[in-house]
Amino acid sequence: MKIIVCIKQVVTGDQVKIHPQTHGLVRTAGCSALNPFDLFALEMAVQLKKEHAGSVTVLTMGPKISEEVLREALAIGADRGILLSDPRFAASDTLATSYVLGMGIRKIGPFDLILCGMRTTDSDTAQVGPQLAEELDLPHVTGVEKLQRMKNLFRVERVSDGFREILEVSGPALFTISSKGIVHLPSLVEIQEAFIKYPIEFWNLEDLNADPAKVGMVGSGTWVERLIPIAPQKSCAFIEGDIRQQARLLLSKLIEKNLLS
Amino acid sequence: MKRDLQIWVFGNHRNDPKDRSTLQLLAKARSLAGDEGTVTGILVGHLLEEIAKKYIACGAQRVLLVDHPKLAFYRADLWTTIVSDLVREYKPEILLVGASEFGKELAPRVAKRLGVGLWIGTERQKG
Repeated sequence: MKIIVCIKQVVTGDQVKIHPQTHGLVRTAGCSALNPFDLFALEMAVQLKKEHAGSVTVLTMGPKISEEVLREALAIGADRGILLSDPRFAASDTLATSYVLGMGIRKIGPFDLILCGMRTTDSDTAQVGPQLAEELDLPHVTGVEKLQRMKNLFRVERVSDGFREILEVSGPALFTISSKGIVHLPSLVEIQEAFIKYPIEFWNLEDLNADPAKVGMVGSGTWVERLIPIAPQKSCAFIEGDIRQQARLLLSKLIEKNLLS
Repeated sequence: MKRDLQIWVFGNHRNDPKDRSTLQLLAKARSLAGDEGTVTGILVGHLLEEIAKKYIACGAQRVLLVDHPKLAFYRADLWTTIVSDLVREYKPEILLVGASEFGKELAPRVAKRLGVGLWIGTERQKG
């Protein structure tokens, strides 16, 4: 079984910088990591590979430093890592991103299954999975908890809006994987091997034979007009006095803030 | 922006009446549309006339109802085709979809098929 897992390097921490022109997030090595939701898709792919034999290819679009998350995926058990990287891909929204990933998958060739994380921790749209399925004209199901392969069918189970759904989907298909499962983290040896054993393949716009009008900001249907980081506001106040005074003061403050009704 | 805005609201009826998000969206659409715009509810499913009436009562001037026994259960692929074809035919300016799990499965695919932008988790809109 040939499985493709699409992953993303996300911005982490509170040191997020915003690009003055594109209003996008500036991605640097110091504040980037593999999107935690992608771990569940990778885990599912590695388990399926164990059961059915086959291969797991990981694919991501991003700047050169995104190579790191491909290495991480290789350490977890993927066999091949491909980075779709081109300055012209920058500022792609989900419409353009799903096009670029789709072109990458067309170049990879035939496959049985595409798995994605359910959403990302940075932009959190949960759109790329369904839009990639549309790009490649595949059926898709989001938030899959269980996946079984039965000849040309996949039987999947998920909960959607309070209903447990059991669906049969013809392959090839795309699923986004629920974060309710368990993931295993790679050992130090596996991480080391991932950096030594495998080359990462880099594909740019020309390698993909992609239409420059469909990528980056020009290929996007949404543009960020303004991005305002929200600093969490916490304040701490000490209440003085004897125990009765403290209790009375606390009570009056809670009432003042409408926390007691 | 155009004054006679055509705003569509996707009718997420599966958890009616527990889930009131579609009714809330209809109210939001009503205020966005102003006096000259129109609000249309889109209902896809089977035996939904009572819900269609409720949408009218909650702010829709019109409901497009697609009814078929085979539409008794939600399916992202069928719904994508039906909603996209309706949008292509009637060309509304805005389609609002509640961010339920089904909404989040459907809306990205519809946006991609139509080649239009989609913003998810919208809290405020600017005219």
